[in-house]
Amino acid sequence: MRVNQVETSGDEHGSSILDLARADITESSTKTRNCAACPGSGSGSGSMEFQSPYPDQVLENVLENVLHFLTARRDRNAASLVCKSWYRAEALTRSELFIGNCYAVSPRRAISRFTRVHSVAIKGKPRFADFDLMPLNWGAHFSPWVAAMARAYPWLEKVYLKRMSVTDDDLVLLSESFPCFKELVLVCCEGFGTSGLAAVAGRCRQLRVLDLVESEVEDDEVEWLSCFPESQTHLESLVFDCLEFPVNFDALESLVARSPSLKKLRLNGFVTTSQLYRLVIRAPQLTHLGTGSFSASDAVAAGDQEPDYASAFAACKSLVCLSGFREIFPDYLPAIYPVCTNLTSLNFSYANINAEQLKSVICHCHKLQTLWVLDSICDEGLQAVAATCKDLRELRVFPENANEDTEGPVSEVGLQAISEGCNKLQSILYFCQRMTNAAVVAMSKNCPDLVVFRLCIIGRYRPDAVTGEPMDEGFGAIVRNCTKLTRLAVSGLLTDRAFGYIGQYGKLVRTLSVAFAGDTDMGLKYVLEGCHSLQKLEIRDSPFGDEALHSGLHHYYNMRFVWMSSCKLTPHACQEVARALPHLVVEVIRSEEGRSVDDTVEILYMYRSLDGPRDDAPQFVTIMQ
Amino acid sequence: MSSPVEQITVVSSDGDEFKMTVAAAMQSEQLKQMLTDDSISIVKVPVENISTEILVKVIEYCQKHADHEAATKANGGGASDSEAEELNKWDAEFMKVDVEDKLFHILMAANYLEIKGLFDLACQTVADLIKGKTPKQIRKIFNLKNDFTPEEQERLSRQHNCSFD
Repeated sequence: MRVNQVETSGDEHGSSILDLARADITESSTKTRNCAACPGSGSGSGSMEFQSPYPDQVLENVLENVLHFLTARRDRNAASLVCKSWYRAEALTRSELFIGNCYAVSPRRAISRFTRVHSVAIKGKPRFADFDLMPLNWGAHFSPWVAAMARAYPWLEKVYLKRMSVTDDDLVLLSESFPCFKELVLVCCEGFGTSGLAAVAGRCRQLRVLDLVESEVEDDEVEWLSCFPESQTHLESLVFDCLEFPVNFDALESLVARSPSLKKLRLNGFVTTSQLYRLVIRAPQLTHLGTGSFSASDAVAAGDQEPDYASAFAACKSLVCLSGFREIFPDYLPAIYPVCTNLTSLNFSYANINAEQLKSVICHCHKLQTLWVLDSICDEGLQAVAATCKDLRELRVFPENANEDTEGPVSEVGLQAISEGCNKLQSILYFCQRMTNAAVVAMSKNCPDLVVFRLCIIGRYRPDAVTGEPMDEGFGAIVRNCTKLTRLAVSGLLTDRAFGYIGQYGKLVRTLSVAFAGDTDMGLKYVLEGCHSLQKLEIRDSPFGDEALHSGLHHYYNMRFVWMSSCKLTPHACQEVARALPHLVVEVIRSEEGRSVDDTVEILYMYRSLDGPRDDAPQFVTIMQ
Repeated sequence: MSSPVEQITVVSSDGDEFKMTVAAAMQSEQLKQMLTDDSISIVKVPVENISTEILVKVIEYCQKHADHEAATKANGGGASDSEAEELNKWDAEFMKVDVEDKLFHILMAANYLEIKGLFDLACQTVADLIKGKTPKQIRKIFNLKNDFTPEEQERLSRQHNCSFD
């Protein structure tokens, strides 16, 4: 939330374009290791003494020890810019590597600077790819990264990937290259299947975490759960709720039984309730549970005796996070009552339950901090949340039917209630079919701690449902009153004034999403000129064109990426940006092969890069130069 | 192999002499090795790169921690929570030096004499000073010279913004 302190004042005003691709600082002639790193004797008289009582090697060793206590990226980046010996020491001691855009830097450059990395996080595709706006096979391949790391980081323990394309071969290489490997987390990834998972399960003997979150996994019909070692495992977290095919339950049950450290278990929708029961009784130490289908078992239809689900849950004294309920049978809800009092996180976003059913659960959840729900709970359900969950920090309300024509079960009433009841709210994502400025203004005043405000009014250009006015004043109030706001998503009928407010007050906003909204190019201009902290901009189906694009030239090097799809851009304007900013990679992407070329750009995706345009771009991507 | 002496004398780089009890001296791995080596007979130990100002602080630390250890042993084993907390508080106060490069010298002294507790404590304190600061601010605190050219500096800045942040 702090403005990046590493930026120098010259950055924002188009100072001369530097040759970023030249040799890394470590390769330059920095043989003068001594004086620069040494403090002068005594304090601040101004003149630097060029003699030191301490030999350089000693200083560097000590510095490395100090830097071990520095973990935040910003602090590490700042330390590395102090002087050359600090740069070197920091590079040697950075153990967590974060790559915000896999195409912004080459694997070679990353591994040559940071040589002792234990943990890597890499992000690939932009977020709008989640909504099928990015054609398949666009890129973000893990392969070159894993190949480089296999050689450079033999002690690698953790890999976190988000929106990357990962193959089975990548996973096999990973499992073979890192004997200390402990944690694999794949979020919104695709391209691999059960054979890749089998390799990881079978070869990574130290594995503690295997989390597959919202990823597309192929069913190669390999029983990956059977591949874990037969002895006790070190597993602490096993998440596979996104798998869309059955797993071998016997193997799963046996695995859970021999994983005494298991704390997080999230099952997919093919695990039945009676199977869930068998797992829960074996693992009462769980803190995070994804329940799988939670559907009515065959026993219900047959009128047979059912297991005591409530007791099984009650035995889980440490449970704080509950999710799953993929095909919920609401009659089973009482089974979870015993754990509600301790719950801090509840994810009902797959549970089609009504207000009464939600109320029966929520009335026990006084400690809840995170709640994800479907709008099937209606405004009435949200009112119940507001009445009980005084500690709520994060709320997400998803649409059961993202249908523009329906009246919609949640509205400004629910939002108003939440704002009045949940004053500690920090993050909200709210889908609805109707909204008013008054409710949004109320939230801006009642929830001053808001960091994330994402309002998605389904249906294009919907005005205030009561006054018929644009939604300008509501969003204006949010940026004005919520002084900690860093992430904003806007929708509904908006004029340039709304964007003027954002540019004027949204000084800390780092991520902005605009969908089906906007009036003239001035709107986007206000944002690009005013939002000094803007890092990520994603716009779809909005009427912004060339002039607006041009107005951001001074700022694009400070951003991670810009996405504009179905706007009013021409290839010529994109080309001009590419020419003006040589270190920006400007991709014009066609969404369908063989579509007739007219003069509008379907998708513009641009991002800064240290190492020039990528060499793996598919046919439908044109890199402007 | 107990040493026959009950005190040793350490001499700062300024030439001043200070007495340390054996228990305090044993907090330093360096001094400990000297004391437990019968082939060395110690009278005075010069510590060439530690000034009087710093040496006084280091001895104070060693004595406090030696006393704490002795008290713990007398009570038959581990320190109670409140005793440990009290020591932590003392350590925190101890590290509040008026001038930051004094802190740096204490760190170097702890490194040289191999006093692990003080070394870790000083490293953590120095790291805490760095947190949230810009490179310029860090340089000022530790009186360091910026030996990057402006071009190198801006290039690196962009590297960070671009990829590693």
